Amino acid sequence: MKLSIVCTALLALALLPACSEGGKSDGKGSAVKLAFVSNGVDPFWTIAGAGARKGAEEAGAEAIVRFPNEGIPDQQRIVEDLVSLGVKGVAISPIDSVNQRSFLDEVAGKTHLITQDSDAPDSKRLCYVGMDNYAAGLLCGALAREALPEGGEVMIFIGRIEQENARRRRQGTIDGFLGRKPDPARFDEPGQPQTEGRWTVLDTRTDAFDKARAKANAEDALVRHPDLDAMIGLFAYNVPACLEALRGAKKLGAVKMIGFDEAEECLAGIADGTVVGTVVQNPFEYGRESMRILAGLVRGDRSVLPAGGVLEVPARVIRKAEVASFRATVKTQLAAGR
Amino acid sequence: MSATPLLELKGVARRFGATAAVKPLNLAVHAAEIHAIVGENGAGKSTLMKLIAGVLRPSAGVMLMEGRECRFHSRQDARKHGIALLPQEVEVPENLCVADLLHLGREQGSWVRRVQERAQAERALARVGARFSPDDAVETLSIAERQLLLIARALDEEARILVLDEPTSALATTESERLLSLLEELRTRGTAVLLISHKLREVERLADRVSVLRDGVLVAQCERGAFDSADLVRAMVGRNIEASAARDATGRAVLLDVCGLVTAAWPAHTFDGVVRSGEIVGLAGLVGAGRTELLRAIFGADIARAGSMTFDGHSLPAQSPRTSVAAGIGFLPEDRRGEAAFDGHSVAWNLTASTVAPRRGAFWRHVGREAHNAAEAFTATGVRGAGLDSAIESLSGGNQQKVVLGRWLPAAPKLLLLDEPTRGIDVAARADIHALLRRLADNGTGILFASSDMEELLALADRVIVLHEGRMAGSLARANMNEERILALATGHAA
Amino acid sequence: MTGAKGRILGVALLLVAVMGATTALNPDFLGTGNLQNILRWTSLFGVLSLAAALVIISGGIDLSLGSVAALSGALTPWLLRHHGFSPAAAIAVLLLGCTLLGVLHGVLITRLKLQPFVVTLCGLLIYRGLARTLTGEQVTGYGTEHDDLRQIAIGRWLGLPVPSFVLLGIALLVQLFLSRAVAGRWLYATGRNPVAARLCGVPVDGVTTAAYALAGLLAGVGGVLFSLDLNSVTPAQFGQSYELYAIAAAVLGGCSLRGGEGTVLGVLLGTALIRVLYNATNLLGIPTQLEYAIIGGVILAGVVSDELLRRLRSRRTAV
Repeated sequence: MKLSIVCTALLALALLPACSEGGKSDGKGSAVKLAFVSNGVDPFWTIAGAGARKGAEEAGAEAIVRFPNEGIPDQQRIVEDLVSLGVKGVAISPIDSVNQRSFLDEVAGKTHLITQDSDAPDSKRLCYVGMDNYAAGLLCGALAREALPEGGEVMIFIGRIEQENARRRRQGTIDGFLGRKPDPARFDEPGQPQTEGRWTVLDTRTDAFDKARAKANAEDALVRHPDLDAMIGLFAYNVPACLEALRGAKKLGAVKMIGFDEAEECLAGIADGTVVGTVVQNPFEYGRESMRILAGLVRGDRSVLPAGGVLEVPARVIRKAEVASFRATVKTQLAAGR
Repeated sequence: MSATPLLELKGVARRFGATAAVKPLNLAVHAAEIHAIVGENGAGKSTLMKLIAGVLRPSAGVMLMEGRECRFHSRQDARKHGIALLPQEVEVPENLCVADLLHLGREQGSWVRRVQERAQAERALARVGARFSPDDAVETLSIAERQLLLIARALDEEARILVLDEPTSALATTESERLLSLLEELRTRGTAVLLISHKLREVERLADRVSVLRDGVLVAQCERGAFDSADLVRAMVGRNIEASAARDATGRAVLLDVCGLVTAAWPAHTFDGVVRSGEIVGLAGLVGAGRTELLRAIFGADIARAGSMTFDGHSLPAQSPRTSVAAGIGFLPEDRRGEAAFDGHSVAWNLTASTVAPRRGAFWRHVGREAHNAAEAFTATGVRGAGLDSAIESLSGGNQQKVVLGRWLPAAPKLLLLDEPTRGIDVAARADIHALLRRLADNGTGILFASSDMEELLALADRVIVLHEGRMAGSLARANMNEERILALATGHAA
Repeated sequence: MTGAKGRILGVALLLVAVMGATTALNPDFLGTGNLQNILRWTSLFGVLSLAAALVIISGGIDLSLGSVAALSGALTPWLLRHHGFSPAAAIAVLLLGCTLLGVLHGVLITRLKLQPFVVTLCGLLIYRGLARTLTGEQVTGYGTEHDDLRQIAIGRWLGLPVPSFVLLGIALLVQLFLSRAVAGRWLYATGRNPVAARLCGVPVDGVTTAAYALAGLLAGVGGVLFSLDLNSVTPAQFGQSYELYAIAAAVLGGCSLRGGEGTVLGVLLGTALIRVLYNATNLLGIPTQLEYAIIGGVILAGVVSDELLRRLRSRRTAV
């Protein structure tokens, strides 16, 4: 029994290198290793990863791109392993910026740490690359308000609201839609309808990244609020889930759909008019800029750090007119990072 | 005999819902006395024992220990008063070793004292004449050995009243003998023994006093010398049970021919033997002599190391229960609850569990025929006090045994292999099963059964094969079959 | 099996109670659209619940169902759109593959005597990894193609969602198998007492393997249906913890983890109850973070009340 365990372990040890990226390394083994860690698995991150590889290549470094799939423990384990592996810098999108602070500080003590996509301003991270999710939310809210000039009721769908970027994005959307004075520190509890004049946000439903739940949430919202005027999907997969629910209820186009990020179905919906528009980030630049900054820090060049510790990569609104050019851009970006 | 009994029951009764399991009765247990309780299954014996041992609480009446009223709230409570119960079903944590089990639940302090416990365990085991060591794992012990172990534990606890529920039902003759002598020895040391038994010869030999229960009522009580077995049977069932007629199966066709069979338990010995159609062959031997292993190897439940078998003119090639059943062999295992009954399912369901496929390779069941088969088997086995739809676990042990035996009837097997077919079963149910087996044999079914019960062997078998430590010690035809010869062969004393 | 009838009645009553309470608080619950939605979700999850039930009846457990569903769900669009398979060929290949995975579980469990929990837990991890690797961690979907195929999941027929007919067909077949087929009864016997079943001549190993194979097949069917319904599948997340919903529904519907117990109707009612609870939390505006607690609470209440009733009954009939 014990012998067989030893044999299995040896076999696994022998096989592991074959599976790892080291197996396909092409002489870059001596290059500086920089890590790029997401907060989950998504096409968004595929593009960001492509940007990171491109950025690292430009800086003469090697990017190790990791997509943790199982939440905070998985993300922290991956980062710890990467640090042990000897990476010289880490660009991370923290899942829970507040509670991961001590962890982030610990990593910052061992290597160069920057945040991207989602910030952890109170930690010892050196800088943040990304957009202000609150500002992007304002854009998204304004887009919805523009679609409902006479006022109306909307529902918001999102994966979860614990993480900083999601919380800010949702708050920005609400404030933008209701036309309030921007205040990133505000927080409206979900479950409470928020009304300003003729504009109302009924509720926010979360789905913990389960697509079936996301679709069911959208369907149930259509049943509960038959007069719903618009749906806002704030995570990439929320848009297709809402579209499927609308199609099933034969309300495609009747209920306005406002998206976030660039899911394929979302772009197709904008092209054929079932989606009003979407707010896209620039994940490619997140990856690329992160690697540029980290590579500079490794060289000892602190001038790469942006003023104020935040490198703003602005979000932008995509409406029907911009879809084609946007798609082409993404395609070239993906190709560049291969 | 002292004037104040050690334990006295006054008007003790126990109801379960609307049913009265034990009706108000008076009973006295004296020190240095063996008091036997007999009765059919369902007569209330086990309930009475559980009341005395604190497992159940009486619905009415009082119990007095040496004249003082006492109430037991649990088995531990009763044990503190010196009453130890040995249940009929042996259920113990199998993963422990013997010494651990002997001390489980009564350890001294927080730490296990291995050396002391081991020495004590050795003494305790020696007292019951057990052949296993304190270091053996309980799971390696047979049912009989486990029972010995529990007896050893109760004796080790210096109980003043020992309550034994069918203690010898799983023991072979010499083991029973040793235990009975032990009980006699305990009696001389002043211990009171309450003994439930179906073995009336034991009762006749040991008991100073016998109480007979029928339907929860104490119908008779007599003292040593004032009764014989026939009286007891009459009191228990309220009718006479006929003795069996002699049968003759010599000269009929050989059904099963076993050649050089070697079991995993006794790799050094081979077994050769035949069973003719219509013949009832008994397998006698001490516990551990290899009877169960032999039956299981013939049926294909265990893989035989070597040997060949011819059945009904064809050789039996691949060994598995499935092929054996298909060839027309039925098997009744020793452990009814663990290996035969499907709890939670109905009597009808259990009666047809061996004949689900209407023919070999069939995909669909034949529900109509199943119902018909179940009804026929139900009538043939004479199950009492339950219907076809009753859950099997609600039946008494004897009736459950009829059901798991009856499941072979619809298959019309040519050969039945039975391991302890009537262990722990009341007299009436045993008579029913014996009658059923004889009827089957009269119709040409060959029967090979293992039994530790000498009465059963002598009453049922046309021929007895005696095993001794895995070796075939001898074969006795009905004409020269008697208890002494079988015992001599089984213990390895005869040529 | 009188206990089974009581259990079915219990779940049915619980279902009616929850539906009644929800309707009282929000009459929209009984709207056609909403009932159609519930029916569709129940149908999709019901296929997985039946898969879990078959294995539980055989006395085992299958933790890999969600991952098997993810594998078939993610690979259906992948085969169709990236490898040019025809729908029939893709589905046939995937269902065959899922069945073989079940056979593999069965063989490991019966031949090597490994514990079902361990074997299928490894399956849960392996197939998830396989789905992610094969698809290159990409979201796979049908886009705007294969709309006719997708009608199997999102279409309506006679005013009812098509998946409910798919589930009805599967449920009838499973019911027929359990109640009328020889192997169906063997399954109950094996689940309750494998030793006794073997001694009765039941091919216990074969029956157990068949249960896992059927579960694999049904999980595969469920995965395909889910992917057709959702249109896009994220291999990393799709179907996560669906095996637990399936097991919960089966247990709620009267399957005992001791094996040898369970009915198709009970399992379907159990699935429906869980889906109605999800729907109710949304319709009543109960915060989503409370969902799990409510559903866990109701399942526990159902199982506890069933056990208490069983004890009450056995106390009355005890001798």
